[in-house]
Amino acid sequence: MKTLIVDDDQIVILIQRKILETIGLNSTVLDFGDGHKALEFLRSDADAESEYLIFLDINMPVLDGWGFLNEIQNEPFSSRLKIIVVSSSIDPADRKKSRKFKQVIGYLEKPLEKSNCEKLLASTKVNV
Amino acid sequence: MFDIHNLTLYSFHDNSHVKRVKLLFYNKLKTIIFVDSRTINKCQTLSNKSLLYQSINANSQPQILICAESEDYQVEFVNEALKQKLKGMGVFPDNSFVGKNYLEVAAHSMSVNDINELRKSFEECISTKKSNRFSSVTDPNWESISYPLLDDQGNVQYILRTFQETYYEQNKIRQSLFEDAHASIFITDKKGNISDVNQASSVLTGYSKEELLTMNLADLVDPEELLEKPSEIKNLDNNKVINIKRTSIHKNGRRGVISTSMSSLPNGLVLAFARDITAEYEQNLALEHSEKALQSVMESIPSCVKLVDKNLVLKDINKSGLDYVEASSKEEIIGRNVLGLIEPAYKKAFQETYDAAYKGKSGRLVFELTGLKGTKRWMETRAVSFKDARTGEHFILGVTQDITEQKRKNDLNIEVNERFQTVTNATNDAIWDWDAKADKTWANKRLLKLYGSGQDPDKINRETFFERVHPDDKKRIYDVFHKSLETKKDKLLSEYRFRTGNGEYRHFLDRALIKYDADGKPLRILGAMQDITEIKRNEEKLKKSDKKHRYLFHNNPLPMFIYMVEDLRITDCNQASLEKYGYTREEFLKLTIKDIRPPSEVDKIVAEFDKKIEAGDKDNRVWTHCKKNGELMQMDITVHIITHEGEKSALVLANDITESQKNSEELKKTNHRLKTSNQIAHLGYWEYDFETNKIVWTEELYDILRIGAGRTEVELEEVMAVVNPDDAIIIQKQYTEALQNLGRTYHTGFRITWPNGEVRNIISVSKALKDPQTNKMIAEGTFQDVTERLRQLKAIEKQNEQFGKIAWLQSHKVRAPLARIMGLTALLKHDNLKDQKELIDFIHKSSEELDEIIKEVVRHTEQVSIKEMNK
Repeated sequence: MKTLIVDDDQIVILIQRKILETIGLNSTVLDFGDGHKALEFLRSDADAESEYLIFLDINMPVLDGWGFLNEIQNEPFSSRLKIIVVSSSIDPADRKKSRKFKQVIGYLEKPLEKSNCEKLLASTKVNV
Repeated sequence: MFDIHNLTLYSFHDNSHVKRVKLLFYNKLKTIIFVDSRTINKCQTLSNKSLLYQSINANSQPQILICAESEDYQVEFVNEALKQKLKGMGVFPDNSFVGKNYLEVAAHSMSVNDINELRKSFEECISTKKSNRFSSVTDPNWESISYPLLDDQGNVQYILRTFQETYYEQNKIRQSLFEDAHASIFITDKKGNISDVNQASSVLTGYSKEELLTMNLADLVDPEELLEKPSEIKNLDNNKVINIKRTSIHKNGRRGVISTSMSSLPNGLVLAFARDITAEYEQNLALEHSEKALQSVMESIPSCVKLVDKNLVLKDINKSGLDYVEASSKEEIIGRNVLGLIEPAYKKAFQETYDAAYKGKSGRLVFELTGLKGTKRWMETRAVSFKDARTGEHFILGVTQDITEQKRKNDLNIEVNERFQTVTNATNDAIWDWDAKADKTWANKRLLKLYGSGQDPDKINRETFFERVHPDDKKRIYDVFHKSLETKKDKLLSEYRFRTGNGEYRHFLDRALIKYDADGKPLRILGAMQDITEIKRNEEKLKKSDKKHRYLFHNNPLPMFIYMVEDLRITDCNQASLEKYGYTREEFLKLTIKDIRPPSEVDKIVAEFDKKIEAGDKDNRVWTHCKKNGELMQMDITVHIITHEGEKSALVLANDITESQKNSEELKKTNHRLKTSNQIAHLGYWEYDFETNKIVWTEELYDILRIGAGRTEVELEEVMAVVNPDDAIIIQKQYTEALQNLGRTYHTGFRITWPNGEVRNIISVSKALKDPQTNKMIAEGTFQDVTERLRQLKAIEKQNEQFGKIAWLQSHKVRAPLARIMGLTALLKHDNLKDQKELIDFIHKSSEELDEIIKEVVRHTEQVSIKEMNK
């Protein structure tokens, strides 16, 4: 399983990489500055059989998190994606909205915390 | 034979008439002078039927006078000639004929065919009024002639049947020609010596045949006359006939007049026919006499008798006639056309009547005549054909009477009758006039209508009347009727129910006047039936109403009492009054109406009653009354002034409105509040009548819609005209839907445009329903102007939008650096020192960013407040 961090904030990416590192995901983590770049990667990824764990921010330039989620719905790889929305928004509407996408397995508020992340991965049986 | 149309009867003053009439018949004179019926009445002798019989009797032809007025053809008279013949035949005695049906009697001696012919003859005679004849089918020896004799109405009253021998065998005729000839036949030589005579010669001269054969014709005539006028017998040539009239001398010395016709026979002898013309001679004398008599009658009778020719030129006129036409002498008028005297309107009818008379059809005419001096008279003329016996000239005999006075009376009578008819038909009463003797009743139109169309007007009589009277009234009315007649009352008043043509019994008051004859028997009863059904019904209603009113008075839940206007004394009251005012009945009926008022109002009452109060006056106002315990009440008093037995009293209905007045105040306040709140809320109520298309509304609706200023009612179209067209479609749709869902409430929003172009937003809450009182389809609802509210809502929406932005900033922008700081500080707890500087830089950067964002949030918030302040 490959791990992708999609966020336009380099500090956030740094923080998240460090957290993921602590839980053993650092070696396979790729990061993208917006949803469009992440989408292009997924479409062009040679390893078509891979599964992906994606930490997705909502508020991004070019293609935001909601746009990304909409785009992947008809993609052949969509069934191989497990997405965790990671947002600074504490608005319940955002949390509620994220649940509408079947690929989303959880919503975590920034900053990403190791304990929350581990708990989510464990509960959703994502094999890291 | 005579024709009845030329028949004119003689009038005579002496007893010579029988003889005259005999003469007329002997000589088959066609014309008898006719005098009109009034004149006949004066000449009693001719009005006697027996004279007619004698006249018929005098005729030598067998004749029977048959009464033709009925089909019985009863034999009135059989003349001597027929009797002789019958006696000779030995068949019938006289009395077996007269008074019997002639056709039946004749059937004994006639064949069936002849009887049928005879019946036809009679019928034809009656219908054509002309004589006819027929020959016997079975016995050719006779023929029958039927003559019509008319009465003064011109109808055939009698038929005169004459038998006439017609057939003789030629030989018999030849044999008897000489012997049985009616005329006397003498055969002489040229000197007048008689060589042969027949039987009639002996009858004429009185000498036997034997004696005559020895005599000369000259022996039979007056010798003196013969000297004066010698015999021309010797001058007779062949083919020459000499006619001569001589005075004859009978063997017995009687002188007569004979007419002789002489001719020469081939054998040289002379054939002389002699005929006794004494009777003719005498008749001529009589005729002259009768003409004088007629002239005398004409001159003496009061009617105008005139003779005119067919051109209506006057030939003769009597004295009365001269008076009518205002001529001083016959010369002044004779020779003039009488039409000149006739009023133009009657000229044509007069001409026709006289033309008809000239042709034999007598006639009658009423006309107006203008005399030579201009006097107008109403005349009645009867015109008959007249033939001068001497000259044979035809004239028209007119007998004319002045009927001016009679006509005036008739006209008056007609006018009175018409007036009576008009009055009886104009009245609503049913008028009846009972002729007691004939038991016949005349009824006016109203009574006929009451009887109904099925009633024969000729059969309205006592029986049909009593048959219509109600069974319960019949005996009483019958008794009243008969008792009134027995006691000779001249008036009859009765009341009863009468069944009209449609089967309904109606009440009638019948007033009748009875007239009795000299013997005290009822002669005539004239009555008027007045329909009093409605009065009866009203009486019944009144009785019921009175009972009802008493009940209403005593059981009325509102206080009611009666006081006398004269002294204001209370005379009656109901239970509610006692309860309201707190008195016992005895106490209350001792009071005047002043006692139930506070002292301050007593003067007001007195002042009020100084005004003139009439029966029927009604007053309604609020007075202050007081109870026995002094408690004051506001009473709504309704007073009706009534007159009973000459005294005025007042009926009072008192309604305590003390409480309701309080309530009314409350209601006023509530209404005021409602009105105010409606004004504040821009809310108006309306009610739409689907039938009249009218909308009734409260005045707030004008403020809302800005149409129908000062009106409480507008048309639907007026409202729809100000509604935005797009919204009007929605309203229309809802209108249809509401009709199908009665009672359902509809909320609708729509836009209207005020006259100044401003668009306003209206909310309507409405429903369609059936008005429970009128059962009419209505819609009711409210309009509320929500323009201001909508504006406020829009402002709030905008505010919310701003707040959303702020919330978003809070979530996504403000919290982002914060989250970063939190993440970084969390890392700092665990990370090694070599990365700390980088992390602290990140934290610093994030803090600055956060500061910037907070400032942005404050800016946004300030913007929202400023916008709202501006609005």
